[in-house]
Amino acid sequence: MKRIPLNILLFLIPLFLLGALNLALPKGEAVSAVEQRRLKELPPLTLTNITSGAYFKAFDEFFADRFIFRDRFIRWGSSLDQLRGFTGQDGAELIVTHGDDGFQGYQPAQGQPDQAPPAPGEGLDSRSAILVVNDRGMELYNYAPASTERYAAAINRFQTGLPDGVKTYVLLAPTQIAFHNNPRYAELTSDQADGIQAVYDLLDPGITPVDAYQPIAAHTDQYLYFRTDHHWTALGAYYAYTGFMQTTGDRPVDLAEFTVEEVPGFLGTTYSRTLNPRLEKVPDTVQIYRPKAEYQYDIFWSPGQPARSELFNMTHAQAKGKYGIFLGGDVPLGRITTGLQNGRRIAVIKDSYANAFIPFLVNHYEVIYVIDPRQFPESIHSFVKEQRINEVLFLNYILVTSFDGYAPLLEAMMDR
Amino acid sequence: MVFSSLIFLYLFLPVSFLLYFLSPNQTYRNWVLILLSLLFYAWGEPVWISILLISATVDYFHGLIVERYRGAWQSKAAVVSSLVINLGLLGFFKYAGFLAENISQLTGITIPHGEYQLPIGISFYTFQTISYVIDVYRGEVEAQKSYPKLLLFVSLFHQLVAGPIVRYKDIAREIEHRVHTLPLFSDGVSRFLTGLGKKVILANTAGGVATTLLDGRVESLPVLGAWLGIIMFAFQIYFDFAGYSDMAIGLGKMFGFTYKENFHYPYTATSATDFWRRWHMSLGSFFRDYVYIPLGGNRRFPLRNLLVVWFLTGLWHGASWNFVLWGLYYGLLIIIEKGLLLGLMKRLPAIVSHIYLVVAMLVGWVFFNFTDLTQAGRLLSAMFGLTGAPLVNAEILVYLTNNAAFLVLAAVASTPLLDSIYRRMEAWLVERGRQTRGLSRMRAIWNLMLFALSTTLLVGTSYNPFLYFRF
Repeated sequence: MKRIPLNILLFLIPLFLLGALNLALPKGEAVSAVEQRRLKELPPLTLTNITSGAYFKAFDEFFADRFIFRDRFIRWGSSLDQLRGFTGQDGAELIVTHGDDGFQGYQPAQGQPDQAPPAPGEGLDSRSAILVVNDRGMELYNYAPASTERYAAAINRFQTGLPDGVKTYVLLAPTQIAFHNNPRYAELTSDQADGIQAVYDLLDPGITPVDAYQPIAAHTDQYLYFRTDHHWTALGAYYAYTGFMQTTGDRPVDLAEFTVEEVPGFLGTTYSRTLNPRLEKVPDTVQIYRPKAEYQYDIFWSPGQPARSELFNMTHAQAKGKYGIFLGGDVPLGRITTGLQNGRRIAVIKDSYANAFIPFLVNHYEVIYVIDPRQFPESIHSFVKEQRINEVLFLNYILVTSFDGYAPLLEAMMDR
Repeated sequence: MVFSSLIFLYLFLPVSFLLYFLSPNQTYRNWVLILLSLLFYAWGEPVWISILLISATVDYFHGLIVERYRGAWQSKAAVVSSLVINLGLLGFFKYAGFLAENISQLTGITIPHGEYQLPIGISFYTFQTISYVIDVYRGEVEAQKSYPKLLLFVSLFHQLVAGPIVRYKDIAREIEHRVHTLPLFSDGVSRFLTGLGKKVILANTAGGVATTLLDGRVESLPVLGAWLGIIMFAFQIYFDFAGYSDMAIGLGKMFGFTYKENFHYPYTATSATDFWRRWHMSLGSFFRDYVYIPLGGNRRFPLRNLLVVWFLTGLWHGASWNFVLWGLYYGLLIIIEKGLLLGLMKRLPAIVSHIYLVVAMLVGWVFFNFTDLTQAGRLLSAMFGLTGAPLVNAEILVYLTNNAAFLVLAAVASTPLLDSIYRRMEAWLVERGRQTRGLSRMRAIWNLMLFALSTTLLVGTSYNPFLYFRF
């Protein structure tokens, strides 16, 4: 028999080996920890699924999602990306990422806080750019006039529908790229002080804007933002809280009044979106400032059914998404009841930036409601009336004012 | 199904090899190929397989009639019928909506028309069956008496969905009898992996940057950003298409078929005329042999014939005016070159003609890329500095440095450089009577590297982080 050329062997052996391993080995976990999503399942083999082609499409994705050594291949792939060019002295890289925003379709089932998030494609696809400089990944903010106006208009409409005597505050949080010290990249992103001011200028006079920008800007030498995640740290949130206290006329509790805990080894969203090896090398540490006051925290996965929970949910400390420690992540409705008897009842309508912020309010309010417009199932105006809420705080990070999808979520809560 | 997918590479292909090479004889092997091809086609579009079968079946009979009634009217009628049916199918599925919209815009009458998703590969296989019937009519090839064998020609999964446009006469002999040898198979492997690398490593990467730059923000692009965007698009479309042709040719060799070349380093061309001798050659020769020459070629009404051919070439690429414009743009360039430029360019250094072609080609891709012509106009203004945007900004500088190595790699891969180095080394060894085994080993390892990189990147595309925690 003739010798088979090496060229053929080096093609057929990996082809058949990987092919066979894919068929033979168990399919592994159904959830990808890095991607924080459920891997694709095979749909039922029905005639409609076949004739529409849906079955085949799903099979393709299923096959790719369960591919042998997938995680390792993905990691190698992101290292390969580095070979495309150079990153300059400060290692600047612009990475446009695609992913699932989860604006829609995320409806946690009753009482299942730890269920896997939805599979991709169920939410809106989002594309945004991340600037990596050295070991820091920063989301870019681009001022978007239309969605900025719609965001402000939604809050104005909210204010109009409120009972007398309810005070409304708006706090827009700047992100870390606003304070990045290299002017070379300043023109990649819009000015955040201007972006925040643009919203505040559009608010009706009855609404009180909160300046979080200045107190944060005054402490940028400290660890205010995660390098591998798009959120602020609890310390960053603390300075925003001091800004809020200044607006409400309260005295902020001193940092020394909190018990500090640290959870190291955090690789956050900017890492998982870019898989950038330079981010991977230097993980973040999550710092927790535990209030000494008394409180209890309930999560309402569905209306009227409180489930006792932890303000700092340490099960997330073991997981990938360690920012989820704060309030246990984003939930439809949370309620913190403190031992205070001052009659102050606040609702915070918020995105995940508020999760690190809200624990600081425990020292000032009798009741704190935490409302996530993506999941909150009720009419917001009736809720405010029924719960006798007398202060409302809209807390968002500046980027939501550039998303088309956010203001409609606020509107939907009022339309219900 | 597409070649550059994990499921094709690691499920369909190994299974195909097993079924095909374990089959005892040619007849079984042909059936294995037919069934595999139908499965391949049905994978994305189970319903549209009916169109493919209709086209193959009617042209099987057309071929028989043409041959049986050679010289009589029935023969002509069968050709006409083949044209009507195939072009009818193509027209109905690909152009009906476009035609209806244009008529209603011109006359104000609304014409109801179905919105169909274009059946995959219809532009290719209808042309293949047309060429078969015409070639039988012209006596260039005998009609195929066996239906399965004709079906094999039409449905063969190697070239079914994205070409090259294979003519029946070119593979008629191989449908009857194929030879499988290890060197041929090995050649096929090299070719297939080269194509896979072009598609996955080069085209997909270039496409990512092109989309980022050209999608929805053309107005604000600085000059270099506009050029970077369209250059990346040029790399994307070339390596995508040429890579697919390479994979088809490589698969053909592995299964004992020889398909003609479809690309010959088009970006090294020195004129539009030259470019089209190197770009999608099977389409160019189709229009030459079945439209241009029958119309009279360059003897009768050459200008009209050229315009017709380039109008059709443009239209073939898509049912939208921008493609027609793109085709006519090349027709015009070729006419100008014929009359004037080519003579002039002969006297200038080759680099001048090459620069002319590259700029002309990139301008062409602008029309090709945007179905919306105002967008195309905006990008062109940006490229030539008419929007008042700066030459470059920080963002584009970052993109340029981030992709510097890739740009060099893609440019080198567009030229015959690597191929000619390999050939020279081989010739050098042979001349001196030395073994070329070492060189073949190097090639094998290079191929393995392409395979590994492509697999890695393909698995990477399934990475889809869930961004719920984005805000």
